[in-house]
Amino acid sequence: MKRVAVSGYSIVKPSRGRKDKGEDAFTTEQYQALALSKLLQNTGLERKDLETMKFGVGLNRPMWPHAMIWSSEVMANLGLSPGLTFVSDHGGAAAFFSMIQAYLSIASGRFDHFLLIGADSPMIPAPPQSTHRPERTWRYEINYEMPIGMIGPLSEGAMIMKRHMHQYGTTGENLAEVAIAARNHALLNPNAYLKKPLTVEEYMKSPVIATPMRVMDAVIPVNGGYAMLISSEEEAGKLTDKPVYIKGFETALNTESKNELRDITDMRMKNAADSALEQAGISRKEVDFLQLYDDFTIITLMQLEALGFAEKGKGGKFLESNDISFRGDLPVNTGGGQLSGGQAGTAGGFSLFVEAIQQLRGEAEGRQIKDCRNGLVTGLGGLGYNSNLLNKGVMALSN
Amino acid sequence: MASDKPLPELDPVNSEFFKGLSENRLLIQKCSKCGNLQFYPKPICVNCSSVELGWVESSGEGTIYSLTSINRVIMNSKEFNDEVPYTIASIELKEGVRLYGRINNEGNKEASIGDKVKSVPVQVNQDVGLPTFELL
Ligand SMILES: [Zn+2]
Repeated sequence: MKRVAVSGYSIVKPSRGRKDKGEDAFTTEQYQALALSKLLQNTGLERKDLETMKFGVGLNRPMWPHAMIWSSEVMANLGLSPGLTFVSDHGGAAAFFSMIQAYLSIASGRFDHFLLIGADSPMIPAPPQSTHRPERTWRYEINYEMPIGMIGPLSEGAMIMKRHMHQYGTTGENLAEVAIAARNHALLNPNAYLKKPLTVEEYMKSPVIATPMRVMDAVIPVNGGYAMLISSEEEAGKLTDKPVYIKGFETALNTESKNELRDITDMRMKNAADSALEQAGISRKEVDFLQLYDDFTIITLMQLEALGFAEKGKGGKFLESNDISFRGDLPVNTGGGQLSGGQAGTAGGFSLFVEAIQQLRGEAEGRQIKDCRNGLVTGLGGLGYNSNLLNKGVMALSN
Repeated sequence: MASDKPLPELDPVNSEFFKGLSENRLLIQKCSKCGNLQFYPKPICVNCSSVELGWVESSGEGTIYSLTSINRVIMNSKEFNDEVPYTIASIELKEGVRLYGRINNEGNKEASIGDKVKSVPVQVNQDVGLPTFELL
């Protein structure tokens, strides 16, 4: 198996499509085009190089637009003729599962490169007001959730949060720590959306949408686009002197499938983390950062427990006695995560990967972690019925 | 409930469940081979992969495992705007499965985790009832 590395990346600044605020109002297709164009610029690749490269393309299935046969249309839009395409329907875990597909395609020797483009525009890119454009997400939502008045992922996230608070005494103040750490990082990240400092008082005053979940516990939806070029070690060496290696990964799909009474506060990612770390040949002490898929503050906290960095049920205590800032003992979501950086629909997970890549390339500017060598990135997607996340995975990246 | 609210999409796997609720019965899918109970209704037993599935009527008694009060509806749930705030709970039935339902307890004490509840399904039409529970 060949070694595989990230050889380039690009980020298109996120927006909520607020023309009235002077924001960009791009479609998903435009974000894909911008991400590709920037990637070519960043890697020094020229259009004609794409004619001869042995490459494939991976896309996320976006919240908007809806197309049944999507990849061929996007290839036509972008003028690309790759050897293989795929679309990931893993929701928030689309970036994570795309990375794995790219890895396997390259490690096998069949492809030299995989171009991953993550783009989504859940906010209507049109005046006068941006309006969130949702779709029912899951089949079980239609039958067993929407008819009783559940409001999608927020209501499931709220029940997970409520249960964790009940079982372990986790407090709003603990979750404020997560929200504020993310915001402080966002202030230092030019590509993060939310730029206003956040205090505990402001967190505590933010409206409760579905008890106990506040607005500040949830992501801010944005439109956005990202690209990553994944290459064999040999090919990466031709494009960059700062390759970021995929050192190990493991998934945890639909864990506890037979258990009707599963503990929804337990993410069950310990084995996946152990495996990813073992493949990478590093210990938890050697992990310089975590980029944790953060749809809600409680999910960040629960992953600290599930990955084995905090004891089960002690995520709140862990946050009281540890510093998760980029200067701290365990930096978490150093780009602001999706909570403050913005969640570009099903491309949201890409923001965590590009932050990891920036840190490992030493390109994280004012939020750069010192002597950064290894990091873990998680992917999560699909809030299950009476469960937490159905698509889960842990990946170890090193420079 | 008003007719503008979203209704389940009935199919051969789930229609018995919703029909049962419309007749005040809470039915749980049961595997004819291994006896496994599962919710929501599925096309196969997730325990033994048998497709021979039947139904048992639940006692309707359960405990609140977790819950949330919806204070604000969003774009995908506008039809419920006139009902906020309302409570949704994950109910752990005595039989050993969990399901989501409304807590119908207007004007009484606030629901909490661990509270005992009983099933009081709400009929929407002759084919569909919705899971609803009352504090005991
Ligand atoms: Zn069975």
